[in-house]
Amino acid sequence: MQNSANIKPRTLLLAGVVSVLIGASGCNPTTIDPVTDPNNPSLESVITNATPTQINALANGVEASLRLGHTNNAPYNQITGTLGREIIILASNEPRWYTEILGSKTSLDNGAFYSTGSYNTFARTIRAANVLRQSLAATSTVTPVQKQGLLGFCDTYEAIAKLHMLNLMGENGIRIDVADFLKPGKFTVGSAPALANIRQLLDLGATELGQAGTDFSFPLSNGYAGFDTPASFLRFNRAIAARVALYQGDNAGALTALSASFYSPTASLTLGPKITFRPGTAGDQGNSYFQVPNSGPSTLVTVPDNFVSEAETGDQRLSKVSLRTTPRTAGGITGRYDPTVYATQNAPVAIIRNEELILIAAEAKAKTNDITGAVQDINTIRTRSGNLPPYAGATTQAALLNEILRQRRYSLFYEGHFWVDLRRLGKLNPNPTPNITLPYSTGTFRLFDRLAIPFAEVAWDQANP
Amino acid sequence: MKKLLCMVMLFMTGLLQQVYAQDRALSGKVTDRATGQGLPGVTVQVKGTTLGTATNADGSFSLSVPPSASTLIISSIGYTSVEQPIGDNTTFTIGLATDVKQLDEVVVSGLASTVKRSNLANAVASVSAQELYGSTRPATLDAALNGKIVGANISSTSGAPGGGVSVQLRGISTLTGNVQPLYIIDGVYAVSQEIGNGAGSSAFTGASSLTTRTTQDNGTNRISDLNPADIESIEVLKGPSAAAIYGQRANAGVIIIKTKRGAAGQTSINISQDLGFQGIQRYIGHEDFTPEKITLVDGTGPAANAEKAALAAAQASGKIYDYEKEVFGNIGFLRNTNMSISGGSDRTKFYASGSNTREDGIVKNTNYTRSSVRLNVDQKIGSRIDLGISAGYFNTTNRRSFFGNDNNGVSVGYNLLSIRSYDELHKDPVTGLFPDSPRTGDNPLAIVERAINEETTNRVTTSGNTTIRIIDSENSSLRLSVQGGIDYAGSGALLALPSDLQSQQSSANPGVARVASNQFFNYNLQSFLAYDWKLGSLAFSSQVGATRLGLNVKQQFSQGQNLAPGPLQPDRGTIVTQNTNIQDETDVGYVAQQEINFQDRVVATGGIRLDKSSRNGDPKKLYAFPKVSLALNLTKFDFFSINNVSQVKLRAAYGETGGVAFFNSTFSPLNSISTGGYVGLIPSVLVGNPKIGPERATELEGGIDLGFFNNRLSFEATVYNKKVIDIIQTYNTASGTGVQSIRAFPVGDLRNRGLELSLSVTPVQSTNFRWTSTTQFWLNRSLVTRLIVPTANLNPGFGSNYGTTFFALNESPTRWYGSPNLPASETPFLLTRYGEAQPTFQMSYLNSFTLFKNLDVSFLLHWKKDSYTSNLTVTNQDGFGTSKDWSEPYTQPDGSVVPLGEARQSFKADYYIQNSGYVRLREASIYYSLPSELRASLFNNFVKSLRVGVSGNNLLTWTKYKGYDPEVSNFGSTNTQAQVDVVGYPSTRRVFFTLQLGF
Repeated sequence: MQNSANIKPRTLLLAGVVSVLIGASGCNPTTIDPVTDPNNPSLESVITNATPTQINALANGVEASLRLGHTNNAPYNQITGTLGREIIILASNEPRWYTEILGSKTSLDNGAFYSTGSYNTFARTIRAANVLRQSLAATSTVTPVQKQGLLGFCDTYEAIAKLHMLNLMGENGIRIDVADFLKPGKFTVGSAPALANIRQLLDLGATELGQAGTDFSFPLSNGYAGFDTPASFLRFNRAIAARVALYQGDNAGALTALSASFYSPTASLTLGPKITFRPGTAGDQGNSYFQVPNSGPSTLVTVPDNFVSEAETGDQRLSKVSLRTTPRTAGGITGRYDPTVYATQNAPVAIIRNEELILIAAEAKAKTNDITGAVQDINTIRTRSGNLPPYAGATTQAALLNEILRQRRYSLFYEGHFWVDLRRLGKLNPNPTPNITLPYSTGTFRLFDRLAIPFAEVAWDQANP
Repeated sequence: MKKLLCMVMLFMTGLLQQVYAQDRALSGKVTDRATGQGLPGVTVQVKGTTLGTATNADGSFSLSVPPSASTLIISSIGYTSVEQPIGDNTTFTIGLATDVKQLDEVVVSGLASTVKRSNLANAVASVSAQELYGSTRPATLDAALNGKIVGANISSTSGAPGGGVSVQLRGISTLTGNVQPLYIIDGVYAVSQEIGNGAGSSAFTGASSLTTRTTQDNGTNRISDLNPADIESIEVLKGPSAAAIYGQRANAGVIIIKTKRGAAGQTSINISQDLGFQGIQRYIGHEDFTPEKITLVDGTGPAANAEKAALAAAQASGKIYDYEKEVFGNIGFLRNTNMSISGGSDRTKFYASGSNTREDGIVKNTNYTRSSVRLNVDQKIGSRIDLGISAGYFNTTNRRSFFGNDNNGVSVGYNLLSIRSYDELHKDPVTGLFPDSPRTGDNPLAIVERAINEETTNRVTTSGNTTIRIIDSENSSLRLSVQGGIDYAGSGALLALPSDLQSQQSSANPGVARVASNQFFNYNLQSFLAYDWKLGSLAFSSQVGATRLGLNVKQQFSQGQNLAPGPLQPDRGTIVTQNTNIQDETDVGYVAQQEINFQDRVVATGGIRLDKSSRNGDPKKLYAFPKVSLALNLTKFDFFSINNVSQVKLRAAYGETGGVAFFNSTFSPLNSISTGGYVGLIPSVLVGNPKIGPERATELEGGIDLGFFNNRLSFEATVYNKKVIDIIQTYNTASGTGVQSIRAFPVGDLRNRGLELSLSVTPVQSTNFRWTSTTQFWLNRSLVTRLIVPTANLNPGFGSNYGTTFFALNESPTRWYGSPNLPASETPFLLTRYGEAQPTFQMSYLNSFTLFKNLDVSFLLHWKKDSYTSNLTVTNQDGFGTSKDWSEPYTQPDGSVVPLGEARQSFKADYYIQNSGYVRLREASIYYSLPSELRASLFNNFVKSLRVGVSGNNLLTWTKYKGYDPEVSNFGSTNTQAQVDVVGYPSTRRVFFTLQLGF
């Protein structure tokens, strides 16, 4: 049956004329003006012939989008922190934080907030980078050199976003070919092909940054102070490449990348690009990891006691937690410590920082049997970060790796690393090393090494085999 | 054009002259045949003309008629019409018999025409003023329809003052469009949205992580603004076969509301005063603590020891509380005043009314007020032009506090259940400060006293219509009927949490205030030519016309956080958030319809509507929505001669309607975002579909209507097959691409099949006792019959461990699924299949009795069989050890015995998906009318009627459901009505005492 018609019967036209008569208005009451989006600019408006202002806005959008992975309802450091037992969230109205995610219901729910919150938001960065690339390909308002800078920036950001998603998915893999959202590629088999893809993206970005002249054509936020030119941004790109190489087990590659990064045993441990937070500015947000100390919010983040009890005496990194005056108990779990890593809602979140680079160096050196170099880097961390005496334990490779894991635990606490580190080192179990235990991981609880592939992804593959 | 107007004027003056001829004066009285009492407001009309009057308060009338007049038609809603030959008589006494099925009532059949119910080919449900509001006083108009419409699935989604109601007609019509039926009030496309202001946003309860407006705001439905006492009748076009003439806005059905109008005759004044109260229907309950139980819940260690010490101290000082009773145990006062004046001459008629309603909730500081005024005027100009104006103004205010889902500790009910009976939450009598809650993010008692969530709405609904009878002769008449209307609703809301509340002190930015403004403006214009003519024994009724509809929305808010002490006003915060949402849409439609009536034996109708809309991808494209119907009245045929069978009607109807894609569905926006003070654009996770057209519902309906013993027993049966073709749903894409969905996509087809039965009986009809009884039965089954995109999780609630629903091929979109996971072969989404949210069937049983002419008793029972709801009421209670049955022993599969409340925390979804079926005594009433003799002796005929009564709403409920109410929904009115209960505002039992006076 033909359901639509473009011809108006004459009698109906007559009725329309009658309406005109009665309406007695100047305009024709049978015409409809098309409505454009009254609330937002359209995607189409930037796809072709984008102006420099639009290109800059898209670039700022790419940078800002990375923040969303930390401000959604299952923010990255909290979901990885919970899976790695760095923190326990005693949410009085969301028991899934201290039940399901800790394994009390056998399996994770691929439709729940924690399965999609961070995953979907990091995917937005990839999409933002893709749209910017598309826009760059169809505009003549930026010079070829400027374009290289923008492409290098896009590729680095896409790599970072993919790495976060892969960290959540683990051996589930990720989709690496996502440029056309209607024809996405399949999930990689395991994490290795995905890591290889991320590494390639970073290398491509590095090449582009190398051809990008002396200045970017777009502004970066002050989180990039010191990293806001193609040359200095390239050092950041190499730092990420070092992390990826370490995850790949390419220790030599990690050391090579480090040498082109901002790795420095003497520079500030917090040196590195950051995600900034400005809650008072429209379009920006506050750091959701900040928690008013000793307060009783509904979603209360606590730190298990063993973070303190398993630390070396005098470790000044214990200042990253503080004892609460009123503990909270829920589901039989008592939380006595507040995390105080992020001191205010304006506190930045590091994307990657020098302290991690020193630890990457230590690990890569230990794995390549550069024991002296490894110990040197370990001691840099122990003395500068922990205010501890130099390392005096065994210097076997295994002992050093245990020591490095322990240092990573305290140096990078609540920054999204511990669970990923345990997994890649094959130590995601209730007693990973002599000095580390994972609470709430036995009995009714269990440890998960990955989040479930989100339902929408599963459904897509079912429908598009 | 001017020329045409002049011609019309000339034509009219010519017609006016016909009025003056030799008239004759008639008078008489119309009575109820059963009781002998005079019937007021009965229409007395000269057959074949528009000349007529209405009876006054005691049933008498007088009328002057031209010599040519031969027959009077006496009609009144609820009674069988009578044709009375005039002959040489000048006085008449006419008795009318009650008509349970109201076969003579006229029902809308086109945008400019009506048809007698006895000739109708659709099962159009009608609700009279008496059925709607004659028994008791439900909270809102839509709540008053519950259990009274066969084929409707109605739920009160919140027990808060001002309510929240969801109406679903004949199953699922849409997944993304307007879920609620289209409401037409006196021809006006009414604003019927459920409007949230952000009570569920991250700054308030945090039910949603959104910062703007959320689906968890527990908003009111704008239909609640209407005053039910002003309503004369409601017609419900349940499916496309009846609603096709409303085209692309009618997929969810149409509810046509007519307000009361004046009748010629003596001016009558009616005053009605209700006083009443409401109380909670039932409590969830809690379990107290012992030191042993604390060990079980909290374990051992310093924290558990502190709990034990607190328990001992509270027990020693007698400070063990029942907080649920403290908060929900109040009695809310209800008052309701209505006054109306109506009357007029045969040329001018008017109905004016005023009302004032106030309802206090069972939670302190929650209430609802509504004031309304209405003026409806009808004016005849000459004998050819009728003018009608309907104007209503409404002012409503509600204060409903915070309820439902929560992540900040703000929602009252949800958090209250976590509080232990030995916790001290009461305000310090000296400092006036509330202590912090040791369990939850805020102190529920402090929220009740200090949190603000109030909204005031001003609304104007006005329409005007003119009918010009261009040709008006015995065998043909041509009418031009023009109508226009507006509905404007402007709401202002204030939501605030003072900065010294616990939840605010633990926030980085203590104190939040939001001022929200929502403006809705609808207008519609329509113009029709209707031509009735006869050819032999065939009567034809033709109409053509055009309509235009405009809908405009502007929603704004300003929110301040980190507030300086002082008045709760957003400008005084350091973090100010602004938001504006604008919507603008226009529809134009053309209609043509033809009806052929063969001596009331065969009535056939065909019609088509062509619609275009700015909401469609192509705003110029016309979409066609046809309809055809046929009714056969076998009893009207000569061959039919079975005694006591008064009606046998066979009917069939087919029709199509549309549902335009939601506003925004064609757009692919770039959202604003900023970092470091630099403005940025980020692609939305949603991509528009610029090719989207309306979804289309087709419906084939068939039925039989039977009447026996002068329709004292009548039976109506209808079956329907309603298909939603190219149903619009978000096309979920692979989320790893950063695009989560194409906003609107014709994803497949959905089928609804149902059965509707209705039996009306008047078992006893004598002078001193009359009993009428209506039993209705209905059911609907939904199934996805075609799907061209990936299975979509409809995400009605909180994940597979509490129950979720899917839009999947060969499955019902309202069926629950949940843990435990099954192998892939079992279901397409690995989960276990559970119960249906749609009830197996619904049944209602309405009975009215009149004793000794003066005592009216009625009750309405409503049975909803096996409808399933995802119920999270006990989740928190179990975690905090407060659930009523926490300590009951539970034997685990391995044989060990643990407390039930502990075991339940690892239960699968089968526990949380609960049967929310119920049997409810929805309405019951007793009224006593003062006998006329007694009234005359007391008030000397100054008072024309006096009635007193007691009535109740939701008096009794039988259900196995373990929450405050089986109807409640955290997400308000949802597309599928797969409801999720996260401890909403408890629903109440209401009792009224009523005094009604007529002058």
